[in-house]
Amino acid sequence: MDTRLPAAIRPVLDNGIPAAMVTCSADGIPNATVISQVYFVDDTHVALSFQFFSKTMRNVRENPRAHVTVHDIQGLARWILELEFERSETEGPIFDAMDMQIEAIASATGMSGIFKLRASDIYRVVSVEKQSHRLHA
Amino acid sequence: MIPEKIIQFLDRANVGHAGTRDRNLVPHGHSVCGWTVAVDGRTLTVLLPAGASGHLVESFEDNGQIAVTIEEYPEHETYQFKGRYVRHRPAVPADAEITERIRERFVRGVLPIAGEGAEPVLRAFVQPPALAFEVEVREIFVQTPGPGAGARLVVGEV
Repeated sequence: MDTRLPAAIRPVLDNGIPAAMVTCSADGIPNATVISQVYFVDDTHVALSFQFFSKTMRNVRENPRAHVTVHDIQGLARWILELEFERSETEGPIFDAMDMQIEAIASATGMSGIFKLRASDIYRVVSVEKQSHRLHA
Repeated sequence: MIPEKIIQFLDRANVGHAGTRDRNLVPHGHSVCGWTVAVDGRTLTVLLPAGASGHLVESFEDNGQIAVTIEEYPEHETYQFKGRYVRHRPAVPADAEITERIRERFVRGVLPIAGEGAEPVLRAFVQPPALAFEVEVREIFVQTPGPGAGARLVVGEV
């Protein structure tokens, strides 16, 4: 049975906070990167922004598994997504929507002209878990 | 040795994340709440909060491969450290002091963006350490967004 993303994660994916991604090469070397955007495609898929890191691109084509942490700072939680790479898109509605969001993120963070979407990488959701934490005393 | 430029960066950075992989080459991510360079200039001690160490020890015991990405946010200056696991231990009070300094840097850096009312949740974002592990750093990569992203800064054992 497919793993489905809960509705509660939708606003977290749109919060503009960078996410953390880990991949692994075929020869077993992990790679940890920061990504600008995790885009909701449908209940069972997300798209990740491919901007700079060719190592991540190479890794997921050799070994499709990926681990992404999405931060919900206001909600005192992080969401853990285990993903499997399916395909990459360089045009079409998903790419266009992500490109527009990347421009907005770049503008808001002073990175205009540096952040540029090269591809939308589409992943199937293998698992999703919410981890909550507490305010400090 | 880890270059002085990078040691200075580590003293102003405020966000970290680590990556490991298990025997089936499945990657695992781990939130990081602190780091410090050992006196040998080659070893990075990395601190993890409770709940961030799933699959960590079994992955270390299986293969010892580790990647740690550390960022200064919101400036986006970022480096990735790759190396080999050396050892791990429960966090001690001195580790909590390291995390507190990073928490202060994170709040100071992000509060102007998030607004004054966000201070409690920004503080909570950097959780207290529960576990520490040491990494023998072998390679350092630039990950600051831009055309230089992905470049290897240090090749082979530092």
